[in-house]
Amino acid sequence: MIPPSRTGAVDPDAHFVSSEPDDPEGDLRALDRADLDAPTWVLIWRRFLRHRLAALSGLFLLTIYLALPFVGFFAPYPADLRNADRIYAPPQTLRFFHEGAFIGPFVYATTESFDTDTFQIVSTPDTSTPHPARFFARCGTPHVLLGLVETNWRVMCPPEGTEMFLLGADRLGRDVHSRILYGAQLSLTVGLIGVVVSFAIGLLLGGVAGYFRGWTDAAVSRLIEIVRSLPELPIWLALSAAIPANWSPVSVFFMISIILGVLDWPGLARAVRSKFLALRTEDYVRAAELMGASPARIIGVHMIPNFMSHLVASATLAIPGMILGETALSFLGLGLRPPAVSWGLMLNDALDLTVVEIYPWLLMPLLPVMMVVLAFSFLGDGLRDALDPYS
Amino acid sequence: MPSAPLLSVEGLAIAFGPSKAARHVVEDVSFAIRPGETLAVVGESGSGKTLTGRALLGVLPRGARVTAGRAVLRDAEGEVDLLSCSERAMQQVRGDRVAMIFQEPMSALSPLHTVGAQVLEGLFLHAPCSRAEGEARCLETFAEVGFPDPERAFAAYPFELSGGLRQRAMIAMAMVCRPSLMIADEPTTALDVTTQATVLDLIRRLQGETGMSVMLITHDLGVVANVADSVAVLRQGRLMESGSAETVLGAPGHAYTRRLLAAAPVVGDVAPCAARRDDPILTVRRLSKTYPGRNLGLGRRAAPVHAAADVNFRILRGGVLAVVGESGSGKSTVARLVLRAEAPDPGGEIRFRGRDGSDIDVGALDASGLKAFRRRAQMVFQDPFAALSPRMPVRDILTEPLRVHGVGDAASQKARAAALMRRVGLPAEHLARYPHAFSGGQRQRIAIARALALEPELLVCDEPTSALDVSVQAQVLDLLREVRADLGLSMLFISHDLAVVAALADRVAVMRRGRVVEEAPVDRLFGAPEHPYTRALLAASPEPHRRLDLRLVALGAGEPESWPDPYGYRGDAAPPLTEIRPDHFVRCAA
Repeated sequence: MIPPSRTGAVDPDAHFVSSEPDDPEGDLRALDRADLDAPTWVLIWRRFLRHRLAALSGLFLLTIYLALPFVGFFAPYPADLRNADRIYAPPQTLRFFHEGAFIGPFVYATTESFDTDTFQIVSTPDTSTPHPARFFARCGTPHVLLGLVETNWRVMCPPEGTEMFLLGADRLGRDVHSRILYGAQLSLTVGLIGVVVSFAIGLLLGGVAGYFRGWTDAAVSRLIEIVRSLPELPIWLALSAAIPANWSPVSVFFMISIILGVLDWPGLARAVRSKFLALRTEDYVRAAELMGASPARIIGVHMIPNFMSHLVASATLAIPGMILGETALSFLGLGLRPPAVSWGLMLNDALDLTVVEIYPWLLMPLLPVMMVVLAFSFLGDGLRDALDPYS
Repeated sequence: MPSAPLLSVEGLAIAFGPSKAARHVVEDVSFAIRPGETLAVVGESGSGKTLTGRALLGVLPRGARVTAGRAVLRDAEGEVDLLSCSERAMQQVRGDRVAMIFQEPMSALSPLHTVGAQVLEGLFLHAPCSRAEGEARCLETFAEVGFPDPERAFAAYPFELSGGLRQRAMIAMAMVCRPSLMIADEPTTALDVTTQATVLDLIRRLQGETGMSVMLITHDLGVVANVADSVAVLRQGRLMESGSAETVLGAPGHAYTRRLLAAAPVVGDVAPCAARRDDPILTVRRLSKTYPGRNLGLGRRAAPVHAAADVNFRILRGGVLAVVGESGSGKSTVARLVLRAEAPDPGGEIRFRGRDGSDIDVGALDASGLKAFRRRAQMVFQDPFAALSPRMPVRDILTEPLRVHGVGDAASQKARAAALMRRVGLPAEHLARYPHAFSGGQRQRIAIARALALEPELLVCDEPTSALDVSVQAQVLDLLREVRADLGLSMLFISHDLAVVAALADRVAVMRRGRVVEEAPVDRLFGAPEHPYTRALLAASPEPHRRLDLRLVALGAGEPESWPDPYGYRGDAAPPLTEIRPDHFVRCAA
C-alpha cells in the first residue's frame, strides 16, 4: 500500500484507493478478541500471573499454609521443651567451615555465663569440636503428624551432645525458632477463621440490604455504621477479657477468631451491598429479570458469579488485619493463653523494654508477622487488579 | 494553484507494546490538510482514527507509541514535525497552533473550575496578557461560539451547562488561541441529533471566519458529507481510501467505502406495511410514569419528573412501531413500562393479545402471570457489552431462558442454542466461547438470539444498534427484519435515529419531553411530517447525500414553549393528539 505521491508532501486532492480486499462475511465469523476467549477465571489467572509480586506472595502463602499441619516435622524441638541451662541463650550461628575445611552445616557447643559487672549473658562457643546438624533423622520426643502418625522423624535434628538454638532461646530456655514454627499454626489460622465468620455475616447482611433495598437496607446500613463507629481496641479487649479463664486453649482460640470476625464484617457487608446495588442495574441482570427468572436464580446464577471474585479479593485484604489483631491481643495478654503458642504470645515476652534491649532475639516473631501481612497485601492487590481481565 | 498543505502526515505508524512484541494499530497512514479546509478521518471502532489524532498532539495513551512517519505542520509560525519534536516544542504547539476537542465534553472539562477559568488558563499558557485582556478575549470567543449569555457562561461550572453548551465551551477553549488546526474527535457523537446539527454548523462558521483547518474524526458519513472537503477512510489502522469528499463519497473506489456508504441509514427506504389493520397485539392507553423529584433535603423535593405522560399507541400483529426521540424524551421508559420492568402510574392500561386469542392486562399481572407473559414478550438492550453476563459461555446464555421456563431437557436446549446461533448468522462452534471474545455486532446477535429463545410474539428493542458501528448496524437491522418476517414477530423499536427506523418500522411515534408529538405510518411521517419537532429531527439527521437544513432545525428543536402555534405549549398544558388526516396524529391545538 503506497500512498499516491511519496515525493514531498501528500497531495490532498489525489484519489487514493487501497488494494486491500474487503470481506464483510469474514468479519462476522471471525472472533474479534480471540485472546479473551476463555472462562473468566482463566483470564483472571493469566492477568494475576503477570503481577509478579502478587504471584510470588501467593506461592509463599500457599507453601506455608500447606506446611502448617507438618510443623512438628519441620521444627527441631517441641514447642514447650525447656532447657534450664540455656535460659536466654543468644542465637547460634549455623556454620559450614571448621578450621578452614568445609564439613557441612554444624554448630559449636555454647555455654552461657552471667557477667555480674554488665548484667549481661555472655555466651562462649567451644570452637574445638564441631557438632554437625542432622537432617531427616530421628530425634527427641515423638510428634503426631496430622493427628494420625506418631513419629520422631524430623527435617532437621539438633546435633548430639549440644543444643542448636538458631534464633536463640526465651526465658524458659525454649527454642525460639521451633516456637515460631508452631506459633504459625494458630497465628495464621486465626485470620482464616475470622474471615470466614466475617464473610458469612457480611454476605448475608450485605446481600439482604443490597437486594431488598428500602428499609432493610437502611437498617443494615445504620447497623454497619454503628459497628464501625465502635472504638475497636477497647471492644476487642472487653470481649476477650470476658472469655472464661478456665476454657481450654482451643476454645479460647476459636472465641478470639470469632471476636475478630464479628468486629470485622461491616467492611465486607458494605462491599457486598454496593456490588449488589451496582449489579442490579446491569443489563444482563435486567435481562434475566425480563426472562422471568426468580430472585433466587438471579442472585445465584447471574449475580454471585459476577462479584464473588471481588469479594475474594476483599477477604484476602481483610486477613492481615485479623492476624495483626490476634498478635495485638495476645501481645497484651488478652488473646490466646499459654500453653498455646502464637506469634503474639511470643511477643508478649518482649513487653518489657529491658528485655528487648538485652535479648533482642525475642522480637524475632515480628519478622514472620510482617512477611505474612505483606504477602497477603500483595496477593490481595494482585487479585484486585486481575479481577477485570477484559481490557 | 491550490495552496500548500498546512499539515501533511506521511507513513504514520503507531504500535502498542514493547518493540519485540509490538502490535501495530496504525500502519502507513498518510494524508494532508490545506489551510481553511476540513479533512474528515472516517472509520469504525478499532480503525485507529482517534489514535491518529492523538499522535499528532503527542497525547497517546499509555503503552502506545509512534514507530514511523512524519507529520509536518506549516503555518505562519514556521514548520515543525509534530511526531519528532521535543516535548517542550510540543507544549508550544498544543493548544496554540493545534487544538483538540473531545467526544465527551463533561470528562474533558474539570468539574471544579468555572468554564471561564479553564478557557483563560489555556489562553494564559500561550498568550501572555493581562487578566482583563484575557477575560475580554474569552468573552469574545464565548460570543463567537454562540453562547446566548457569555458573561454567565464564563462564570458557570461545566455541570450547569447542557451537553450542547458544554461542547460549545470545549470549542471556545480550543478557539481562544486561534489555532491554525483544530482536531475534533467525534465532537458531536455524544449529542442529540438536533444539537449535533447546530454544533457542526458552528464549527463550519468558525472555520470560515478564522481560516483554520479542521481534522474531523468521525464514524458518521452523514456528518462527513456535510462538512468535509476531503476524506480519509481508515479500517483497522490502514488507509483504505482518501481524496476529495466529492470523489470519495460520489465515486468511491474501495469496496469498504462503498459498504460504509450503503450502510449509512437514509430516510427514504421505507419498509412496506405487513401488519393486519384490525388485530393489535399490544394496546397502550393513557400510559404515564412519574418519578418523584430529587430529595433536596430538609423535607423539600424537586418537582416530580413526568418521564412519560399520556402515551397511547397500538402495535398491530406482525407490525413494527418505532418510538423515536432524543435523550430524555421518555422513549426507553415506555419500553420498560410495556414489559412491566417498571410499574406504570395507575390509570393507564397495557393490553396484550396473544396469538392464541388470550387477552392479558399486563399492568395487573400477578407473579405467575407475569412469568408466563415474559415468554411472549422479550427485550433486546442497547449495549451489547453490558447485556451478556461475562461469566457465562454463549451456550449458557442462550439456554438460560429455556432453563428458567423449564422448556425441554438439556439435550434439546443445546440443540435449540445451536439453531439460534445459526439463525442469527453466527457459527454454532462459537457456543462454548465467552461473550468477551466477540465484537459488538456479534454480541448483539447473541443478545437477539437470547431474546428469540422463548419464541416471543413481541420483541422490544431499546436502541439495539446505537452502540454499534455503521456497517454492523446495517447488518443487525437486516437480521431484525429477517427474523421479523420469518417468525411473524411484532416489535416495539426504540431509537434516537429517524433514519434507522425508516428501514424497519411501519409506524412511527415521535416523542419529546415524555409526550408523543406526532404519530403516523412510516411513509406519511417521512413524506409529509407536520410537527415542527419531527421536521427538525428529519432536517438534522445527517445523510451522505443531503445538506442539513438549519432553519428547520432551529424552528423545532427547542423547548415546547418555542414551537410555533398551534404546536407550542407551556408546562403540562399540552394540546391533545389530533388526527389531522386519517391515521396521522399530531399534537396541536385544534
